[in-house]
Amino acid sequence: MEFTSLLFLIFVSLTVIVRAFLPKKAAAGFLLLVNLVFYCAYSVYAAVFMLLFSLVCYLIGGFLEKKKAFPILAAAIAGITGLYFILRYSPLLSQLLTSLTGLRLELVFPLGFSYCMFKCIGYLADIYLEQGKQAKNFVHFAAYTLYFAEISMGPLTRAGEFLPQLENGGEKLTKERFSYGFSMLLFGLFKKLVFADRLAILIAPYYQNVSSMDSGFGWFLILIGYCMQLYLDFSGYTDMAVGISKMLGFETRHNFNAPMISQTMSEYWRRWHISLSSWLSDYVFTPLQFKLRGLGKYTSAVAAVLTLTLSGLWHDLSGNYLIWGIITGLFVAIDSLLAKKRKKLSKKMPKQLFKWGSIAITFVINLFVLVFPRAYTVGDAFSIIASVFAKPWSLSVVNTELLVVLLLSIIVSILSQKIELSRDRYAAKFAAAPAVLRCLCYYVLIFAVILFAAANSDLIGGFIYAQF
Amino acid sequence: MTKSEVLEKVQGIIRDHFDDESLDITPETVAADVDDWDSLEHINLITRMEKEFSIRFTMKEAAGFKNVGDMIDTILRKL
Repeated sequence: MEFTSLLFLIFVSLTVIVRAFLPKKAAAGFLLLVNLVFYCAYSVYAAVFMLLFSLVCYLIGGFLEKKKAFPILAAAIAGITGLYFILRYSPLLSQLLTSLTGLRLELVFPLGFSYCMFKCIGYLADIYLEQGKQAKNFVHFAAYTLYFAEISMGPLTRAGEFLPQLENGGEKLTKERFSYGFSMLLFGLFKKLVFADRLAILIAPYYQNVSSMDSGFGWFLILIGYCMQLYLDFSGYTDMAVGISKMLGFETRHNFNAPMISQTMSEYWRRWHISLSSWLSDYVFTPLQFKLRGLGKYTSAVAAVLTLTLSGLWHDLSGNYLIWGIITGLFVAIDSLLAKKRKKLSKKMPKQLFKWGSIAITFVINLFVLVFPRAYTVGDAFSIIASVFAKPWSLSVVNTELLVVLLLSIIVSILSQKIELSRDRYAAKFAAAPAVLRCLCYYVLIFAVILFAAANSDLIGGFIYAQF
Repeated sequence: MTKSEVLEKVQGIIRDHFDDESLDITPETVAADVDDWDSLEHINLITRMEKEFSIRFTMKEAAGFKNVGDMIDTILRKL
């Protein structure tokens, strides 16, 4: 069930309606049932696998709670990540096995296994570190690990945040919760279908044939286009996931906090894909920092490079993502080494100049860093970057439709990020607005989606981050 | 060392580390109360405490500090 499909929207509507009439003590059981229905629509075998996987993790959690043995935690994490890599690269392994043995074996990477894996590892680590406890029962645990709204693209809500809500039965559906949740759901759909998908269609041909754009300025605009596409696609999905959760009575993590106003790459990673970057910070970066603390002032720098390289490889075991991870890690490392010098410089310059200069520099750096995950090959990525500087900066070759859509996307991105900076305030204002005004906003968004949703959205293959 | 002596020494280390003599550190102080005390600086501070007190924290201890008071209690246990 694609998140942007009519079937999914009907499924969510029915789920919200039924949930509104259920008593609190039925919340966890109902959520698990809904999760399984969603999953079985994708694959019954995958649903059974994910349920069994969750059961094993739940049992390990129970054991860890009684005996905080590091070897058990280490073995569990090694087993989970090993299984992840086997399944993630299953087509390659299937081919290898077939060529070696002649047997036809098909392994499939289950939808959402990445996020389920992160949830389970975090859960077990929290129990070991005595920062979390075993779920009340397996129903609660599986309702958390297989939560349909988060399973394919996050956000990655922690066990310590979600399990207590399940135990409490979640919140009842109020006017405020509905207004917040429904508007987020619609706004997310709007961002994804009207802008992200349209940008994707417009810029894809240039990445498919990198010599098709003869203008450095044209390439610069295309890089901005991809940045906007990625943000609108991913934040669109997150808005939908958070909105659905809100209507079902649960609070989940937000994933974005105006990433494009970041003044350093470190700050960018605190504002972008927040649930994953904070997970990586708590469960990979911090332990690495601790183990490497003998490196003195280079500790955080080395830990950052290693963590972000791993993050790159999690996205894909390819040269593009490896380079992306390393480069991002290096920029964060440079931030950590130059933090004190930067602070001194900020005191010598006019405040607004320093702030907006830093934002502009970080934004441009990120445009070039994002070339690597988008380009089809490493060679293409370098060719694109070179083209920005080497080719003449002519406006005439740039497609008018791309210019218009890009401009509108930038406006929507700015609006979206303004909302992210003061979510609760905007939510309260919206909920307090007259019903006529709220309904008008809903209708505008719905009709905008119906009228202007990009054709051939399937070309994009759903939301970008679902592939991970 | 007594608890107040450890607090005084910890305050001195934190003031020196963040180059701010006006910082008023109490057992209730948390990272969010001090500018620049982020995840990148936290490990540098932990390492500095280990060096100044000639102790070694475990990962579990360092991850479990809710505030400066927790850190001080752990330091006292190790002295």
